Amino acid sequence: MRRELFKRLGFGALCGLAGMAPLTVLFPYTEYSALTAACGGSAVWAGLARLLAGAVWGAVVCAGALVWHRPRGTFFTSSLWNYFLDCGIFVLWVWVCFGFEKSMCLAAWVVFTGLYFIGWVVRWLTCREDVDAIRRRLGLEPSSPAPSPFRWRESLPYLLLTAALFLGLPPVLAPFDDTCMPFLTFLFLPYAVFPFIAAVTGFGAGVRHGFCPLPALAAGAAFLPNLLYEPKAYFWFQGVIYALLSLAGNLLGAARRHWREEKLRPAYEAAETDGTDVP
Amino acid sequence: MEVNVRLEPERTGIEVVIYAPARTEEVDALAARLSGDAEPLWGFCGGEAVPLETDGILRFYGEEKAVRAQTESGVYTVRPRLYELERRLPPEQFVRISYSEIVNLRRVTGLDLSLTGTIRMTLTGGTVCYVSRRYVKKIKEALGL
Repeated sequence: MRRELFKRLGFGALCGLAGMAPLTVLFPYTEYSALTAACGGSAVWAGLARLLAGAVWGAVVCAGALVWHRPRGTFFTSSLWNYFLDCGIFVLWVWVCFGFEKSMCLAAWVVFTGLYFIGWVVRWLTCREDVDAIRRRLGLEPSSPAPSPFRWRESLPYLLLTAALFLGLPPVLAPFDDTCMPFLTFLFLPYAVFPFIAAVTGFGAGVRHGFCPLPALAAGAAFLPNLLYEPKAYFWFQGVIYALLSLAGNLLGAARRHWREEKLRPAYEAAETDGTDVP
Repeated sequence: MEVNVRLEPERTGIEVVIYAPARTEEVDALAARLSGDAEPLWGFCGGEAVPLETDGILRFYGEEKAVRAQTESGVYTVRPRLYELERRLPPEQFVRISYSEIVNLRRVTGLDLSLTGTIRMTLTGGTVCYVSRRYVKKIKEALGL
């Protein structure tokens, strides 16, 4: 384990250096005057400090992944350890490289937490696919034979994913937007990304669990807080449109699920009689 | 099962041929036993040594620096380490589910994923164990998924 730790620390540090080197060269040090000032006005020392911060970041992230290899501990506690480690080092890196600004650190924390949460939900959904595939192969009963009201329990991961994306993407993309022509905020998010997210999460829930109305509600409700942002880029009725899109996606997914079940039913019935696997 | 012994004095060794309508687990087990590959696994419990039937074992797990084999009738200590058992047991039947546990897939009665991401496996008789995410891929491979 110790050997693996040192290997990862070294590899991560190299990756961090490789990632930071072009950034250090491409973006001059004068932009980050606070760091330069902290380094006694030396641009070279400031550059070296940024490289060092990159190396430390890479090393900690790479070594921190060892948390998943712990023989004991649940997935949830491992996730928490991994989150605190990665988030802490990321915020520290932002603090060093972006002039010791608290507002930047706060933004970094929000962005990181949002992305981490989305990643976690995606991993959970992938794991559920795997578990379901194993269950089917072992011939076990479905995991939740009795559907919950409005299928809220079944669609919970989709609700969380929809909410995280609707709430998280605008603040994540805002710093990258052009100040004169905010293309991302005014066009890309409302007319491409949000409709896509609404339709895909609705469709995914439909394919998985049949008709469930909550992803549509989540899309509409999670969009509403975006109306509070400045500049005003959205209208309330867009939320209704996203909800309808999610509902349409859900109905389409449910129809696909129904069609697949009908198509596979003879094969399952034959397999049940013969005691063989479904092709 | 019909057993015939034919003596041929000119032979230098023993040869066994199995005639069966199809290749089944029983045939494979018999072949393994005859070829001497399947050395019985001994379980120890309170000074008593018991040969353990592979199919009757629910799981192997590490406990207090020893390896235990759990069957429906009780828990026995076995000599081989978990990694040795992993090599020795049929890979499509016994699979490692965590750092310290190998289960008999034919004895799995339930598999659930909780909202916190924990995968809970239930075995015959209600024994509960937890699957590590790292080993999900191995289970899928063992099942040919």
